[in-house]
Amino acid sequence: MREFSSAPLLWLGLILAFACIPIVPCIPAFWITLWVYIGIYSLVAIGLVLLTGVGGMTSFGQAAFVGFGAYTSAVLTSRYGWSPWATLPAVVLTAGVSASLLGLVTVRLSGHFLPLGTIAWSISIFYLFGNVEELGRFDGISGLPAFDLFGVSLASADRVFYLVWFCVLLAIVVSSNLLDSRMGRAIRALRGGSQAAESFGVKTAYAKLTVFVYAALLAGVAGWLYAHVQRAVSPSPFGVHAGIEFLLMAVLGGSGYVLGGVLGATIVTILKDQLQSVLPKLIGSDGNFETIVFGILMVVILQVARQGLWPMFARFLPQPKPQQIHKSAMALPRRPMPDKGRLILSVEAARMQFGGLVAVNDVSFKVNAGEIVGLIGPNGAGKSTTFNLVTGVLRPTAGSIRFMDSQIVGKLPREVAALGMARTFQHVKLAAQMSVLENVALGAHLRGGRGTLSAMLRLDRSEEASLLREAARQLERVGLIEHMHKPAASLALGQQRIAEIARALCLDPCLLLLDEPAAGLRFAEKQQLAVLLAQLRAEGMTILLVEHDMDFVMKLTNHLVVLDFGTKIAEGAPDVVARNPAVLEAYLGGVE
Amino acid sequence: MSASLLNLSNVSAAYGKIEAVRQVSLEMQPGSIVTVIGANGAGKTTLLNAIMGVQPATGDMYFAGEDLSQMQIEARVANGLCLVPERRELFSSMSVEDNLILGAYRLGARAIATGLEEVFGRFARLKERRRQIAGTLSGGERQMLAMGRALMGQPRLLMLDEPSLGLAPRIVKDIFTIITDLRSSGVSILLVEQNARAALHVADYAYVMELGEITMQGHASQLSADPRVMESYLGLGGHG
Amino acid sequence: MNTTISLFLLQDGVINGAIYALLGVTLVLIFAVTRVIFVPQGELAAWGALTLAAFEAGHVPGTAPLLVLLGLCCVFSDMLRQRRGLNGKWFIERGLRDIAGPLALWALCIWLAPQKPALWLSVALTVSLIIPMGPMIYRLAFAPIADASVLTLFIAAIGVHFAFTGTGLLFFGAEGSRTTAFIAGVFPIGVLMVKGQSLVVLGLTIVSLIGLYIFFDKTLRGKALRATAVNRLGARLVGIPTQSTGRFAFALGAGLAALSGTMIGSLTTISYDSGFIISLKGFVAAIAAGLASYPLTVLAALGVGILESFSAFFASAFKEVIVFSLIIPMLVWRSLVVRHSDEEDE
Repeated sequence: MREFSSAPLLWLGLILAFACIPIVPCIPAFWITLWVYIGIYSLVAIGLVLLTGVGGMTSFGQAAFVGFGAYTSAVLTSRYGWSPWATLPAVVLTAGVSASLLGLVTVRLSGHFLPLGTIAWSISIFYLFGNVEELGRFDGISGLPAFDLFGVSLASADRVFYLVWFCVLLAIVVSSNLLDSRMGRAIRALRGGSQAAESFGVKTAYAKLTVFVYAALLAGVAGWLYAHVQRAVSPSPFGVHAGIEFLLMAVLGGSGYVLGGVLGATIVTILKDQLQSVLPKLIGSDGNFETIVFGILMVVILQVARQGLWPMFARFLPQPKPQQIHKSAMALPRRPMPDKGRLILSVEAARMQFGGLVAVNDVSFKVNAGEIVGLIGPNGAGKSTTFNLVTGVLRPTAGSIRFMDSQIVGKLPREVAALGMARTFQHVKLAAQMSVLENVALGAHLRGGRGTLSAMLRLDRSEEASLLREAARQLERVGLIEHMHKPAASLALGQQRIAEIARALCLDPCLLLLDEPAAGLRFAEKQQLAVLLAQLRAEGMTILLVEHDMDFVMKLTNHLVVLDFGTKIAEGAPDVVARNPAVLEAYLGGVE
Repeated sequence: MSASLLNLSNVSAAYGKIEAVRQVSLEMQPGSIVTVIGANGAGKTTLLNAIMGVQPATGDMYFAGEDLSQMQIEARVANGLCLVPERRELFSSMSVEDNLILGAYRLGARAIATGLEEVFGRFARLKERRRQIAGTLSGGERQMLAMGRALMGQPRLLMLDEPSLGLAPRIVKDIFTIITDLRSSGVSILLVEQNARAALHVADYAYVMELGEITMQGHASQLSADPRVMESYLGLGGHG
Repeated sequence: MNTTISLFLLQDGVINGAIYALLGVTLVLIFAVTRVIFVPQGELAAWGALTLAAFEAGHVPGTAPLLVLLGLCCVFSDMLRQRRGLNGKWFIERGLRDIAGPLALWALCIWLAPQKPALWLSVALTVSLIIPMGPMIYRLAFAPIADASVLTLFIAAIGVHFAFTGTGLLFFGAEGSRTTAFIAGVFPIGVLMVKGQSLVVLGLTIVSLIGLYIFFDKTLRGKALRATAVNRLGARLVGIPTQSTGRFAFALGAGLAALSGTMIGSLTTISYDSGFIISLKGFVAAIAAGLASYPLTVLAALGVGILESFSAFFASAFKEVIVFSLIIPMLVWRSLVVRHSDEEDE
């Protein structure tokens, strides 16, 4: 609800004014009907905003779920005499189950395969609707009952208007709640690539499935409304072309914003209606000529305003308030830290082969609690690959890696994270549009447990407050607290790297892995970073860092491991390693 | 001024909000080797990409008197600029010979024939492996192929980005021998290297880049004797 | 089901499969060079069939004025984008290429169509009307966002498809058409009665595929196209103009789509909206081959054709359901095999 928190009266006024549309005498009935359909399509578009704009999954198949909802209710009311109200649970069940099954497959599709997949199954489902005897084949089912409320029929548009827009309002509130939560952060982090989210314990496949099912449920409810407003169903409004129109709504409105979905649905629906009455007159024959305009609109929007129209619109609305940090929120429990000097990570003869290339050649080293260990070497020496082996991103061809007494070979990054290992990335992986605070709070994902439903119903507030408080605490620790409400992308590179460290600290790790933390930093920033890392060590943190900058590691580390061509060529205290002839040779090349 | 081959003044280039190259001015004479040295992330690669047009940039850039600022990459290539990027960017699923042929794409059949002869003369290894798929070459051979492909286009200025990157010391030596050979056959070279020692050894003139800015410049021999350069880039002094 | 029926179904499947193969190969080609998943290819194929049908009926095909319209759009959008450097020379050049050329073709059609031109001439006219549409679409829709992600380009392609469906209706009307076979009659081969048109389809497909092979493997232009597909940046660095390479790929794609269209016209009734489903079947094949391998695409396309003809026999109502459901396991398989880069774009 944060979107409305800053000016509640304004929003209440807007909603009340909107609610007056059906009772204002001079508004023709035709426009009220149009607004009813806008409401129904808005539900689908809101779901699509979450799926596509927020979750990064482009679906052309939403119309199929509208169809599932509509047909379920149509069959139950026309054949079994249920009341339209009674069918709602069945509608939710059908849409939910079908979305879970399709989603299990769909969310596993990568890149452009995903939208292609949605086109494929939506065509299949369209032909299924059109060929099943029980669903009335391509003629569909007609003569469906209208909604009624305590004996008052909602057959007319000016009455069903309130039911439809009540659903829309509910969807807006619930969707905004969901986004503003622990699960919401996980979903929003998906767009920046799943690697960062996974390494902080997010089950990304599950998060994707959650949005997918949620979007389908909204579409199913839209179908339920549609069936009893239209009083008939047939396959054609649920085909892939309807799916494309829904996507146009989301893209046009602004696929990252819940209200953008409503805006998109409004524009597309009104435009379609106008075009359908104007174009045939202009052209002199009947047909769906509006697709010409819609298609062009889609291409133009992608070319000139990829964020959609909502951002331009939102400038005139009050900005939502930033998140409040409650100092009174309960502190999160901490894991016991290993005693100083205890062995916490041991890599033994780790080997990584890609085809014939040996990227890491039987490398062994150890990390003890309370020290900073540096993994150094020239470009292409196998540092990053070693790093990926330790974090579980890659599975070694041979060898053993033990962390906190557990074998981690074969474990997923999120399982390694759960053991207390947190990392940063060489190429900063923050969700660009999310605030610094929320990016950092993602690090505490595993320290909370509230799920989707409690987020939607706002039952997660005390845990959420604790998570945000922890994120703020870590930002304070690293010195970024004054930037916490800015979008991550607005920070300088050095600050982004520090923010990644704060995110890692949020996991409450006993080992911090830093991948080239000093790369691209200015001199002063490097010094600040060194101070921060030394301070963390003093507080008992263990750090393993991969670094290129010799100067930086020399001053900071207790122990150095030097790799060259995938092989460990030296190991020991920094000043000893710096005099090692093999190290000098590797770093300076053999040219004289 | 008019005799200089490449003349940059106040060139800046940014990735989003991060300005990787700031107000860089640089000049090089025809027939010379100029090197830009600096640490990882100093902006050296971005500078080369800006000169080539791969990366949008602001400021004045003149090549042999021609204004580069409005030129697409293709036009810069046609004017005689050529970049061998850090990642080599070979056509990995095509043969060595096809890679070389495409290097002279815009020059036509005759140039292809003479160019192949010349490149095979210079890089005997490539001739042996002319039918092999580029993706299966070793690191050193890939660098040779990248340089060979660049030479096929008969460049006036060859820009090499970290040619020694990831290569064994013996092969690095070969690569630098080739670089000096190229100068004697009249190709000007702009060399970006982390291996400062080797780069200063072959170069005529050098620039030091730090955090996107040029902080020092001078004759290569002069710079390699500078104590600050010795400490930061040649690994002498400091911890020894 | 006896052998004769199976052989008959097999024949049908192979013929449809050959057309899907041609479309699938084109999709792979365009995707490799420009990263565009060219959905509107189906519309171009349908327009090919409808154009040929118009010539047979002695009408001027809708594609002729449509080409002029597209040319006007191109000049107009270039004007909006270019602003600088607009002068008389620019207008004359663009005018000649994008407007006068299409107008001349239109005039030619107006002159020839009532005379019901010979088949070869009709096919040649059809293909030459549709080829220029390829590069025009590329310039209008894709070139301005050539560096965007595959996903963005794909959504744009869906937009173009959407616009084309309406455009097709506008220029051809809702009526379906059918063309006569290139070669009439039936030839007995063993127990099988082979339709002349089947032989034409198979022959033309094989010739086109061989032609493509020679082009890509032996010519400098073909190699440049492959190079662009393998490494876009590398191609730009050696001076291959990737924009014109993209236009060229689209021209080739449009030409092949038009050619397949002229062949399908006699196998089934084609209307303005038939193209989508046909090209999606080419997709199934292209995707099965990972949008990468030409021979695998051809094999997969034959598989799709055969599956389709057998499922039409056993469960005709669910033919499309079966064919399109088949993509899903393939997509899953491809997703597991292909390692997509982790970075999804904004």
